[in-house]
Amino acid sequence: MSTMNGSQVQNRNQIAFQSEPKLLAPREAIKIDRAIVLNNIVLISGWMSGTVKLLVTDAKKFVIYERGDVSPALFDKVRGFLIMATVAPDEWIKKVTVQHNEVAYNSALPLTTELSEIQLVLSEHIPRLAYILSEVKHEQEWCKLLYPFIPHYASDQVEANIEQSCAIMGIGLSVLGWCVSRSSINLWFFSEFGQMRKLSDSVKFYRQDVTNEFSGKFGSRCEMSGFFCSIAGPVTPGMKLSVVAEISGVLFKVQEKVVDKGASTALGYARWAFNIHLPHSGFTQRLASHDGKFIEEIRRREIALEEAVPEVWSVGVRPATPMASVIVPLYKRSDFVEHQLLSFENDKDFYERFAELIYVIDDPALYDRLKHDSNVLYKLYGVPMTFVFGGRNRGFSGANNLGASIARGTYLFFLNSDVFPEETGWISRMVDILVSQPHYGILGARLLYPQGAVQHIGMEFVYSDSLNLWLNEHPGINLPINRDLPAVISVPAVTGACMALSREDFAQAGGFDESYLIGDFEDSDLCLKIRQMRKDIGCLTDTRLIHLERQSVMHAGGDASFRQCVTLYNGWKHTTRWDEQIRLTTNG
Amino acid sequence: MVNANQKAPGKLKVLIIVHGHPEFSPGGGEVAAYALYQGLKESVAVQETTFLATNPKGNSGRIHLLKEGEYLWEQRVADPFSMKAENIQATLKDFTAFLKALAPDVIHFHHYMHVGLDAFRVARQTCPEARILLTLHEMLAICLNDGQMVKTGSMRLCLKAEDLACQQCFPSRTPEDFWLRRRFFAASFKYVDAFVTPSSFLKQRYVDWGLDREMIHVIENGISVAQPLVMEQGSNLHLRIGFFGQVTLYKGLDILLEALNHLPKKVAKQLTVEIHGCNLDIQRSEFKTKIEALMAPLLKRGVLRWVGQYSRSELAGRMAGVGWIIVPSIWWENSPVVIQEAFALGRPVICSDIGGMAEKVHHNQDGLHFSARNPFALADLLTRIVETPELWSRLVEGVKFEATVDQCLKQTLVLYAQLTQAQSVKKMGRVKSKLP
Repeated sequence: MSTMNGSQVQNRNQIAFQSEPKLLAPREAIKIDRAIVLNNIVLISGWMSGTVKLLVTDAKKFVIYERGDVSPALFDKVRGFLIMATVAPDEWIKKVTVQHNEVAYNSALPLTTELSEIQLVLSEHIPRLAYILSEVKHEQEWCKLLYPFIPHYASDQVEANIEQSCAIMGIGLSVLGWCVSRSSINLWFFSEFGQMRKLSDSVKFYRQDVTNEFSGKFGSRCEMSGFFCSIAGPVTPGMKLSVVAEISGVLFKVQEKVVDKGASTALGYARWAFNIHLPHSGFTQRLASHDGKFIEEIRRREIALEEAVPEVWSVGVRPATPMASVIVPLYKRSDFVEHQLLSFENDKDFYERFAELIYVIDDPALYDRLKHDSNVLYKLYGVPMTFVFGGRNRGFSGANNLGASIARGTYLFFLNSDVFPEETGWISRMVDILVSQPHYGILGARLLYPQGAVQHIGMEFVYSDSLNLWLNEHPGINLPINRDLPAVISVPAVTGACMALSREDFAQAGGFDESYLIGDFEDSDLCLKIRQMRKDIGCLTDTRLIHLERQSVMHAGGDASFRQCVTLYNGWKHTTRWDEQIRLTTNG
Repeated sequence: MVNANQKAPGKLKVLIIVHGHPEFSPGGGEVAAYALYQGLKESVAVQETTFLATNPKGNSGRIHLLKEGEYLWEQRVADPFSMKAENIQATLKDFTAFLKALAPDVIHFHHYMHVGLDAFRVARQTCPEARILLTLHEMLAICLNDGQMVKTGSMRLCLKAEDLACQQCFPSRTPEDFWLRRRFFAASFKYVDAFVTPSSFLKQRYVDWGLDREMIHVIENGISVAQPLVMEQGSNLHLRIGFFGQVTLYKGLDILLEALNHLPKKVAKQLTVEIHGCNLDIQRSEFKTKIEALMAPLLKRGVLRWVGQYSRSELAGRMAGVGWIIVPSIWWENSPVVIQEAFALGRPVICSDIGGMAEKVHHNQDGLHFSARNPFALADLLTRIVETPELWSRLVEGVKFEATVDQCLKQTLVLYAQLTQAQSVKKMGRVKSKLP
């Protein structure tokens, strides 16, 4: 390959474009075959022979190559040329200049954008696709046109396998597999729609099986051959995806697979993607540079979907103007309702209509049973209840927001279904504090494990250096009750398992953020929003509310590792959003 | 008889509620409750007694008359974990209507099985002035393993229910599930004014579990039997031992058979052991195979006789044919009826030295204990019996039968009187007698 600058040559002679070769001397000629343009990238190809030299006025680079199709009987030293340039539309190359015996000849270029012509050019330059690829700088439309012309080739330099793939319509795809090569060669993921990403961008991980199979051939390069990679862009399931290698300037497909259909929900995608056992230490890095944005995007779409009108019904007479609304989302387990009623049935706050009880059915599987049982439960326990069913599972935030949307109370209490008060009057007591100490924006409560140890007495933010995240920790968890604390203490945040705030503040803060998955960090997220509103977070230190922490969630997923990944995802989101605010809180 | 429609002053209307009618389900608890019912009917202190038994064949919830004073309620508990009746609507409607119609002064539950725990709450809501009693015949509230307090899998004896330990017996549950279960039982039991257990052993287990010691009264089940037999003489009764009852995993028949297989030949030759058992055919096949393998050599040598099942009317005659009754159960037993039946017939009892058995049989006085689950200890004991002929006669002298229906009735009426004469019932929980 050589480059020349032909600006000093005078232009005197015209060469016809794409006709017969222009004979400049015996056995010396020039011919320009093709000139195309696509998205401001120009490609010109042709050949010359003898002493003809190529001078390109506007383009900077071209490539010269052996050309076997032109008759050696007629011409000497035949060389093909391929010129590429990226130019603004008004700076398109208008001509190509060649020089022969100090004479410059010009060819005007009627650049074409015709697809078939472009495909024809690419088919003629299969050995030079790597050059074209680098010159088009992975421009997607070019890549898409290029893709079919990249040949399959079984090289002993590289082995790869795409094991799992998952396309999320219009958002991107993620891919899992392994790849090992003899030396450091260029490798890409390359979709038939033209999306590309360097394989070296992948999260790499150890593959024992690949090591066992291929270490004889590739040595220790096999060990970290596992890859996980996400490629953003408008994709569709069923599209083709290849691992493409470049060896000695030639592109070829190492492996090609059809991409599977991914889940259409954020949680569904997470179930697939978080089950890939990558080291947790690199998890936030993986989210940041791979599929974290995908999940956020899917979640955004879910939330934007038009909501069906929720179904609301009450058993007993619903209080018209309660001071408090206690909102309890139900997921997986409906039996918790009855166990909570054992606590509520003797609580004046409910039977004297100070508080209304709202159950949010956040699990369609529970709907029939609760629809059937709600009246029986009222007859047995005498606590009026309002049920709201939004037609689908929304997770902690969505369910609580739905409950809040129908609540009538001046104060909202968010209570998990696995919290069982062992005392009465705690609701009115918390309302009293919110009224008399208005600097508290949110109040939490002391939660205990069934055996009596502390489960929650406020949360604090602790930075994990290994995960690069702020985590919510429960100071004093599993320790005995401390009776020396004042009745209410100020804390950085409180758990959403039990929190109370005014409906006004809740609305002003925009409710719980629904972009988190399942249920972590939404509580501290709300606390941080309230803190931004210059209010404190308080926690009662003498309440006796039993919390069977995580019971409902364990039933949901079962897989602890998956739950951990979801937590890491939410933590990554939370940290990205609140890092600065948390540092202020923590230092203050 | 007093006119049923007019309440005599100071006389009680009593409703007995049982998990089964002895005509269809002749278990110890059902039989004892029925005997109490019949006794109350004759009592001058009681104006009217009604017997309501669940019939778990279906769950239609209907309550219908079986015969005068006796009703069947088609209700059941299918899930012993929640112990909730299948047809709660019927508990709220049919059962409530029934209670309203009877307006009893005393509602005496025997067991919560099939009735369901909600019945206590509904009874209190419907009859806020009535005294509610519950006779605890077993330990199902404490132990999900059929109330046996024997560990699943290892079959080790269990001393106390703990959430974590219970979860280990039932790995598909969580410790928190057991916490919730106990909490629900305890909340339902708050509507009960007094508990009755047939043994101190059972009382202690419920105290350990969380019930108030003061609220549990020990009253042995009353047994109605024929007159004590005139002792047959000269038929080597002291060398004849009888096993009576169901042959299940927990009844320890395998311990007895192993002990017999361990006996020295000259000892075994003198002994005769009769098995009056039933339901071996419905046991798990490995247990069946084990029992059959242990029995085969004994049957051949003539030590063992498989007599098979019996009806209640045949019991006295069958027991008369043996000198000892053996209860080798590997679980605690609460108060085995068979022990009282043996005593009623003047027979000493050989039993495991644990739980309700050890309480009811006094070692060296009206029977003999052996180290529970230990066939060698039982073999030694059987050898002692063969080698000490006078032992039997001495223990026969020591047998006293006190668990008569009269005795049970008398104690129960005293308890009813205490409860109904007390100024106020210890009311737990808010009672809602009026629902919109």
